[in-house]
Amino acid sequence: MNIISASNLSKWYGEVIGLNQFTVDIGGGITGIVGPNGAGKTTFIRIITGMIRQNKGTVEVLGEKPWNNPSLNAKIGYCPEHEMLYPWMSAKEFLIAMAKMHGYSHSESERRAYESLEMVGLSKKDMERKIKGYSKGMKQKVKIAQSIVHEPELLILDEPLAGTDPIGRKTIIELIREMAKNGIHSIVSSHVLYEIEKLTEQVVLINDGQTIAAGNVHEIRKLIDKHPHTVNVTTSNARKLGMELMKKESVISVSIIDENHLSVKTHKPEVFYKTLPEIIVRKKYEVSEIYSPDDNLQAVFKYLVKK
Amino acid sequence: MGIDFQKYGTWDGARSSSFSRAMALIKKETILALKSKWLIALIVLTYFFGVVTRMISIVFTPVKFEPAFFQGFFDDSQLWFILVSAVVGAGLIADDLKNKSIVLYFSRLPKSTYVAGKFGVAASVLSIVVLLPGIVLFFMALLSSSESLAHLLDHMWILGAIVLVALLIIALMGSVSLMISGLTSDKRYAGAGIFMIFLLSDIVAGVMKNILKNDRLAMISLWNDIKVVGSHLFRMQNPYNFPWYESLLVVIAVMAFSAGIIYWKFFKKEVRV
Repeated sequence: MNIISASNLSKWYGEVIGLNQFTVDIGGGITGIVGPNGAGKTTFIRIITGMIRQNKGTVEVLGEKPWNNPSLNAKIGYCPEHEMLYPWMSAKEFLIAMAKMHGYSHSESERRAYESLEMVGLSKKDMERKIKGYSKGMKQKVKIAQSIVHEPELLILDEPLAGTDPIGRKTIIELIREMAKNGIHSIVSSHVLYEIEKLTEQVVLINDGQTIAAGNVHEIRKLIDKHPHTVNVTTSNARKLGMELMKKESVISVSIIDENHLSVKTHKPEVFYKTLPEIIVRKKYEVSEIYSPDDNLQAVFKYLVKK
Repeated sequence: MGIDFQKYGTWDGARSSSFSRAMALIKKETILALKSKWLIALIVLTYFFGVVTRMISIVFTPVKFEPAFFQGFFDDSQLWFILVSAVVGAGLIADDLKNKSIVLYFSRLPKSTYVAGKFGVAASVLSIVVLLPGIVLFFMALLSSSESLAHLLDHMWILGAIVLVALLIIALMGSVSLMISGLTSDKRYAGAGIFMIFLLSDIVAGVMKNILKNDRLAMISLWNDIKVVGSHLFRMQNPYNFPWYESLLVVIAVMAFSAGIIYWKFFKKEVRV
């Protein structure tokens, strides 16, 4: 059974198109919605949580239409991308208030607030502190805690890993996985494919308001890896380093931009990233910067769209 | 840190009704509102000028247990009511829009419960400065009155008039505050807007009435409308030359307009955050 079915979903804000004939069927478990900033992820999430209404097309979440549907809202846990906490409250007070609004008794709300905050890894001491003193990562944890306080059937998390430290990230990833084991479906959006890969194999790629690809992340990865990968290097001797790199089987071409900059194209980025440091160390080249413009999703999407 | 999922069990108890959820919202937000030093200062001032000064005068000069004494409280406290309304009402929805926390409510509560809860917050705080002192004054005057028992029993209906006038003020100010607060995410603008609506309507009515020499133009002032309806409820002479129910219609129309704006803003339109 599909958890979410969207067909030809379009949403525009004046002249700006948020979603453009977006069609997708999302099954149970964890699904990642991946796309660069401005791709339409948040628009899609706001439509499925009933915050905004599509201009065209149809959408069903857990078999119901989401717009103005409080009974459906009760089954969904929503963690928005933006900050929406009350700085003058403690995390515990905030969670208790949120649980009460779901209709739980005071004692049950207290219990749930404590457990939800503990689940996201917030210490007892931090729970009692005012939110205004929290780091971005701690606020992110509170946001996630409020979305699970009422045992939702479906968890919708918009960029849940943004701003979290590595330990916080691990806790949240573990939490979402555990929720999935307990039968709670999750939709997780991110602009970092790497983050989503750690969570799930099921992804939907979205760009310019349209579905680019949907399915197993490994299949999509293979597709992406066929795409020649560009790596730019800033070094003290671009010409010599370029000549060394040209000898490598993983390198397709080398362009010397100037004395200090070169651009390399490779079809095996993982091999190339192992080879490059070896050459640098062996030949004692000074390298101040290595970066890949292809690491940003926009480039990958451009490639996929062209295909 | 390990995660203990064993505790995360389902709850067998019944979820509370929309009314209880609205009450939870009212309680949370009213307590929050009463933490404002500004609001506490205004409440104290309202009581000082509206109740304490009258109680002192009762001590020195035995008061006549007449409707005019109580209507005087409402008329003289007008400015304080407006200020309290502006301070408490400004942030009602504007703060949620600013903090983008409105999505938290809409993902938990029916929109109608949210709006009712927010109105309840304004009504609760306004009751403290409008209804409660009116009732306190009634009983103070009753206890210190030198009138005959028959006279006092004859004037018990005044308590009903006090409650009705207070409820009318609360309903009008609460709905206008809610509307203005829902139109902006900056509570300073909302507060100024609430204050200006009551103050400007009073100034405009006064100026136009004097220039055009038409008593009916006094109706533009929302406070004049309250005064006219109040006079009817207190069985006193109407200060203007038009029937009281026309003023009541103006008050109802303003409340309906406010409700319409809220409906359009939250039920018809999307809430963009």
